[in-house]
Amino acid sequence: MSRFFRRDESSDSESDYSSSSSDDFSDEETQKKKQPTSGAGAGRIARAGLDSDDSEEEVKRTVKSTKDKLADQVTDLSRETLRAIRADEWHLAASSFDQLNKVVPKLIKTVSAANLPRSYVRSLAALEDALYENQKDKAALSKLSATDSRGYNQLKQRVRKHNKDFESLIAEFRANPTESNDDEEAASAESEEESSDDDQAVPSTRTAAAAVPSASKGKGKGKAAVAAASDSESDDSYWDSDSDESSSSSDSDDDGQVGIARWLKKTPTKEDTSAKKAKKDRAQRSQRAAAAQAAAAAEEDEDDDGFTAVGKDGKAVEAPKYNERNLNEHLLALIASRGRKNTNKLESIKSLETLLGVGVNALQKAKVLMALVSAQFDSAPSSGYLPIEMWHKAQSRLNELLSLLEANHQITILETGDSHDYEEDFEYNNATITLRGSIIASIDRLDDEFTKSLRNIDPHTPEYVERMRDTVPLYLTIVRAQGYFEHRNLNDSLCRVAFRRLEHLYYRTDQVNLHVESAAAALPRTSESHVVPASTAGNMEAIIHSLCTFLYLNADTLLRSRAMLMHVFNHALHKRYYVARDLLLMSHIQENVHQADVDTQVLYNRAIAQLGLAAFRLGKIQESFEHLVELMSVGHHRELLSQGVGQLRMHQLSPNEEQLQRQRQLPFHININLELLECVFLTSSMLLEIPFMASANINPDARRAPISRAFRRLLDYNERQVFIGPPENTRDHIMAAAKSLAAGEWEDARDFIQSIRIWSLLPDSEEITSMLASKIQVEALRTYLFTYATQFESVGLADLATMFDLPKGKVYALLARMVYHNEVQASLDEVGGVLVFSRTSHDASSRLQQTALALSNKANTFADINERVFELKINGGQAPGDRQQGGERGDRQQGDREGRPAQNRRDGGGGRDGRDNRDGQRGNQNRRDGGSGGQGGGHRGGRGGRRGGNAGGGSGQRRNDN
Amino acid sequence: MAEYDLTLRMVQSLDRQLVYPLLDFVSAKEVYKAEDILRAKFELLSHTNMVDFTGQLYEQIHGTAELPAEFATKREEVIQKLEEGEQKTEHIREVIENPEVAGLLRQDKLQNMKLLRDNYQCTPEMVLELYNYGQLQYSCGNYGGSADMLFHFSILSTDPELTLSAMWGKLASEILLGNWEVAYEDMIKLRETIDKSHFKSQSELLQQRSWLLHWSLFVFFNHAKGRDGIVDTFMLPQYISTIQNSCPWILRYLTAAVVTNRRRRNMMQDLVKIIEQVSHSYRDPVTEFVEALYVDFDFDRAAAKLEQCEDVLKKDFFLTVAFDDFVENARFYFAEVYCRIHKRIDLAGLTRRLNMKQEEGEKWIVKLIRDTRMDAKVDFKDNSVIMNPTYNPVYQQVIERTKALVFRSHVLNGAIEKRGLSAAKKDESKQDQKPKQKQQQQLKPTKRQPDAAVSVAAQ
Repeated sequence: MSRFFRRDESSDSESDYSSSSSDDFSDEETQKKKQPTSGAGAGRIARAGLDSDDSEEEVKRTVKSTKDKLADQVTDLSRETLRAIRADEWHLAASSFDQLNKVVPKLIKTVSAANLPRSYVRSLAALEDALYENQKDKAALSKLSATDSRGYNQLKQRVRKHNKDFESLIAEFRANPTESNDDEEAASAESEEESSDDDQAVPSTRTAAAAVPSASKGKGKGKAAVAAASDSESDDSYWDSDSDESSSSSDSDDDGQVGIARWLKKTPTKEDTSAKKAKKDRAQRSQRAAAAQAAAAAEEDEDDDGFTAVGKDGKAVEAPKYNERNLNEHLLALIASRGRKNTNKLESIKSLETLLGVGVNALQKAKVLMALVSAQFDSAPSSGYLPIEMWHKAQSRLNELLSLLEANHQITILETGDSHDYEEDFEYNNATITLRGSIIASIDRLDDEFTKSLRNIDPHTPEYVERMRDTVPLYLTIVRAQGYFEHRNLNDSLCRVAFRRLEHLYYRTDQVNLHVESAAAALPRTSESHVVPASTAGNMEAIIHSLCTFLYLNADTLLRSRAMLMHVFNHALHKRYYVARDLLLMSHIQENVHQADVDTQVLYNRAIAQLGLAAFRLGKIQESFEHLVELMSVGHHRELLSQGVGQLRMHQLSPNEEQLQRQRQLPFHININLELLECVFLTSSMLLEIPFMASANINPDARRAPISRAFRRLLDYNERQVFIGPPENTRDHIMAAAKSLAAGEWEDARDFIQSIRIWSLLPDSEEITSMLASKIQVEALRTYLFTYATQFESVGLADLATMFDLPKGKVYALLARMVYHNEVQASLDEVGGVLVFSRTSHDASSRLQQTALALSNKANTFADINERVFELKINGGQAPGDRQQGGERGDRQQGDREGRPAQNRRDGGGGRDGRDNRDGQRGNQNRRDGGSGGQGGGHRGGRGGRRGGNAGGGSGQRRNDN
Repeated sequence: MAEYDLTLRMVQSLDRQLVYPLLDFVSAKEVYKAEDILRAKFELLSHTNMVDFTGQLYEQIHGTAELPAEFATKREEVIQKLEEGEQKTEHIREVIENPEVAGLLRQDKLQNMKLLRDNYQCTPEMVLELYNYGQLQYSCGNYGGSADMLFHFSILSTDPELTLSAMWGKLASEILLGNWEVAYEDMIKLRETIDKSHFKSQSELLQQRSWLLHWSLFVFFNHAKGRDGIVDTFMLPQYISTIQNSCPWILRYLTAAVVTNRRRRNMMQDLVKIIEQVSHSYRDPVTEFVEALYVDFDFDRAAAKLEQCEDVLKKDFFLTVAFDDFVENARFYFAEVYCRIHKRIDLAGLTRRLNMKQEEGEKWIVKLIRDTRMDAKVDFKDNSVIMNPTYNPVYQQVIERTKALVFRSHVLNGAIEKRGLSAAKKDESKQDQKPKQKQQQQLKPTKRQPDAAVSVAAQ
C-alpha cells in the first residue's frame, strides 16, 4: 500500500469516525484493513468480510510495503520464539532469536525503535522472564537435551545485553500485564470487531456501545477520553504522519495475539494509541503511555474493557493519575526513557515536575529532583550551551534538592548508594537512607554549562554582563553543596566542590570576592565548616588559603597541583609576589608540568603570567622579565593562555583543532589582559635591553646574544621605518621610549612610558608609573655611562646627579655597583667627587684590540664546538662492541666539558649573568634539595625546564588537537 | 631589646635540655624579665626527670623552701625506674663492653644481632632496653650515661627510626657534656644519615634538617674547626633551601660565620644572593650589613648596621664569643669593597665610617694595606689613600683566554687518535671513521688559532 493511500485512508477514517469513536478506532480500523487477524474473536469474524478471509501471505504479497513485510517477518519470528520458549525447545528459540536480531535492525531503520511490533517486545520480555526471572534449577536444566541446553545458555548470555536497548519498551510492556490479562478476551474481541466494522465503514451498534461506555468511563475518571478524542481530531497532521507506523505496530500485535494466548490484548491497543499520539516525539509518547497505563492500572478492578484507558490517553498527560504510590513506577519509566533518541526532553521535564508535586516525603522528592535536574541538563543541545532559562531552572532545582538534603540529614545521595526503586517510598519513615545519584556531577555540570554559555556569548554585549550576574547564585549553590558534602563526610565530592569554589574565587580580587563571599555567609549554616572555618570570614586570603590547604591535604594530585597553581595566581594577583613565587618553587611543579594535561598547563602559564605582573608591580623588572619571557617570545601566547587563537595561526588550524581550541578557551572575564601583559613585558625588556646594548659597546666580552629577542626584533623593525609618526599604540610608545632612553633622553622616555594608558588597568597605576620613572632614570644613567665611557676621562658625580635628576647618594651607589661588578672599568674618586675611567678602558677601544678579543672568543667557541661534535660522534655513532671504551672516553670528555662552560660563564661576567644567577638561585636551591647538579647547571636546567614546560604547553595543545 | 633576639624562634627546633643554656644566657643578658625566664625554665624542666633541679627552680619562683609532695614521689619513681633500667641492661652492657665482643662486631647489623643472640643470649628486647635506659638517663641529666647507652644502641639496632632518634640523643648528650670533638663527629654522621635515609614526607625531611641546623650551632661555635664546618655545611644546597624555607634566622649565624672566616671569602657572593632573596622574610642588622655593603653599596648604612650588630651579637648565645672577630672582619670586608670601588679615599671619611678614631683608623688602614699588599699609597698632604687599581690589559686577556686552547686541542687530538686506534683494532666499518677524519681536519685550524691570537695581542 502506498503511503499516499494509507495516509488518505487513515485521515478519512478518522474524520469519519472521530465523532463517535475514540482515536483507537481509527487506528484499529487501519490496522484491520491491512491485515486482519484471523484467529481471534472467531465469532465475529464473519463480519470482517473480505479481509478476514484473506490469508496472511496473500496480504503480504499483495498489499504490504517492504516495511510491512519486515514487520510481519518480525512478528512471525517473535511468535516462533515465544512458542519455542513455552515448549522448552531452546535451540529453536535461540535460532529464531538470532534471525529476529537480523531483521529487527532493518525494521528499526524504517520505523523508530519504539514502534517495533508489539509481539517482538513481548517475546523479548518473555525471553527475559524465562531466562532470568524463572531461572531453571539444575535439575530442570539437566532434563533438557544437549542442543536445547546449549541454546538456553546462548540466549542467557545474549538476551540481557540485547534487551538493554529496548528496556523502556519492555518496561512499558510489563507495566500492565495484569490489567490486560483481565480482559484480554473481551478487549480483543471488541477491538477486532470494531475494526472489522470500520473496515466496512459501517460502525456496528456494538462498537458504538462499547465506545460510549468507555468514553463515559473515561470522563468519570478524569474526563480524559472526550478531550483526547477532540484533541486528536484537531490534530490532523498528527495522524497523517504517523498512521502507517502505528498501524504496522498494531498489525504485529494482532499477529502476536494469534500466536499466543491473547492475554495482552489490552496492551497493544493502548500502545497503539500512545504510538499515535507520539508522532514526532517518543518521549511524549512513552510518558503518556505510562500515564495511561497507570490510570488503567488504578481502575483495573472495576473496568471491564480496555477502552477506558485507551480513551483517556489524550488528556491523561494534563491530568495524570500520579500519586505517591505509583510515583516510583513513573519515575523509573521516565528515567528509562532518558537518553533515548526520540525522547522529548521538555516533556519529560514537565512530567517530572508534576511528579515532584505528587511526592509526599523527602525521599520521593529527592528522587524526583535528582531525575529532574539531570533531565534539565539533558535538554542542552549537543553543541552550544544549555539555554540560560533552562540553566536557571536547573539551578533552582538543584538548590531545592540541596535544601531538601539540608533539612533531611538522614538522606544521603551517593554514587554507590542503593537504587531504591521499590514502591514503599510513600511510607518512608525518615530512617537513614542512601540514594544512588551524584550531586557533585550535577554541580560540575551546572558550572560547566555556565562557563560554556559565557564562552559562547559575545563578551562585549550586555548579555554577557547579564549572564555574569549568575555567578553569585552559582557560587552560593556551590557553597551549599560544599556544606552538604561536608556534613555527610563525602570526601571525594568535597574535594571536587571545594575545587569548584576555588575556581570561582582565584582569579578575582579580594574586593569582588568579598562581595560574593558576604552573600555566601548569609546562607543558613547547618554546621560549622572545617574546610573554611568561620574565623576566616571577611578575609579572602584566609578563605582561599583554607580551601587550598584542604585540597593539598585531601585531593588527588591533579586537583592538588591545580589548586596550588590557583593559589599562586591569587597570591600574585594581590601582589604577594614572594609568597606566590616560593609556593610555586616549593611545589616543584615546573619540573613536570609539561607532562600534565592541557588545562593544567594553561593554568600554569596563567600563574606564571600573573607572577610576572606581580613582580612588575613590585618593581622587580628582572624577575618580571624572566617570568614572562618564555610566554611572550614564542608568539602564541594566546594559545598558551587559552585566550583565543592568534591571528596568524588561525588559518593554520584544521576545523577540528579550532574547535578544540575553542572548547578550551576561557571565558572573557577570566582572561588576563594580553595587551597589558605585552606592555609589561616590553617595558621590562626595554629597561634591561637598552643598557645592555649600550654596554656591548665598551665591553667586548659581554654576551652578544640579546636578552629579549622579541624586543630586539621590534626595535629593529622600528628603526628600519623610513618615517615614524608619533606613537599611537602601546608598542609604539615603548619603542619610542626605548629610543629616547638609548639616546639618554630619559625625560622623553619617561613621558612616553607614562602616557601609555593601559597602566590604568593595574590596581596601583600611580605607584607603577612613578616606579617606572625612577627605573628609567637609573637605566638612563647606566646607558649614558656605557655609551660614553670611552669618551670620558672622568665624570663628576654632581653633574650626573643633576643630569638624571637623581639624588647624589643614589648616583654614588649606582656607580659603586657598576664599578664593583666590573661593568665599567673605572673607579670613584671620593675626594674629587668624580668617576675616573681607567686608562685601559681607553686602550680597549682600539679597533685592533677589540678584534683580537673577539677572535680569541671565537677560537674558544670553535674549540667548544669541536669537542661537542666529537662527543656526539662518540656517543652517537658507536658500535655495540665498543661501548665500554667509548663510555670511558665520554666520561672524560664530559668532565672536561663541565669544567669549561662554568669558566666561560665567569668570563662572560656581564651584569646580566650575575643577575640571572641570582634570580634562578632560589629555584635552583629548591631543586638541589633533590640532589641535582651544580649551581650554574642547575640554574640553566631550571630555566630550560620552564621553557620546556611552556613549549610543552604549546605542543601539548597541538598534540591534543590532533 | 628583644627585637633581634632569636631565642623564641630557636626554641621550636631545639631539645628541652638544649634550650636551657640559651635561657640561662638570656637571663644573664637581661633581655627578658628575670621572672619570666625563671618560669620558662621551670616549665622547661618540669617535663624532664631532673627532679631536684626543678625543685630548686620551684623554690626560687615561689620563694619557699617547701616542695609539694609530688616532687618527692616523682623523685622516688625516677630513681626506681633508673634502677630498673640498670638491671635490665646489665647483661647486654657487660656483653658489649667486653672487648672481645667489640672486636667481633662488623658493619652488618643483622649479622651482629645474630652473633649476640647466638653467643651471648642477647635479645632484641634487651637492645631496646638500652635505648629506653639511655633516654631515661638523658632525661635525668646524666648525659654521659645516656651518650654511652645510645651509642651502643645505635650500633646494634636494626630499626632505622630508633637509630636516628638515638643519634639525636647522643648528639644532645655530647653537646651538653661539652665534648665538642665527639659531638662534631656525631653531627657529621647524623647529617649523612639524614641525607641518606628516606622520610615519609618532604616536610619531615625539612624538619630533620632544620633541627640539625639549630643543633649544630652549638657544635660549630664551640669547636675549633667550627667556622669552616658551618660554612661548608650550611652552604650545601639542601641546607640553604632549608634555611630559606623554614628557618631564615639561621642566616644570621651563617653570615657571621662567613664574615668571620676570611678564608672563605669566595662564599661571600653566594651569601649575598641568599640574603637578597630572603630579605623579604627575614632581616636583622647582621644580614643588613652585608646587604648594604654588597647590594646597595651604601657605606653609611653599612656602617650604621655594623654598629647595631655589636648589640645584637653580644646578646646572642652563639655569637657573643665571636663578636670581636666579627667586627674586625666586617671592617676588613668593608675596607675591601671600599678600596675596590674608589680610586682616592678620604682617610677621615673611612675611619669615621669604620667607627674608629682618626689615629687608630690610620694605623688600621696602613696595616690593612700592608697585610693585603694592595697597590695603594697614603697621601698625607691630602689626607687620602690613593689606590692604583690594576686592570687586565687586553693582550693579557687574550693570552689568558687562548692559553687553555692548546691543551684542550691536544686532549681532543689524543682522544681522537686513541679512538682511531681502537677502531682500527676492532675493524669498524668505514662509515664510522669518516666523521673522525673530518674532525681531525677541523681540529687543525683550532690549533693554529691561539698562536695567531697571541701574536696579534703581542703587537
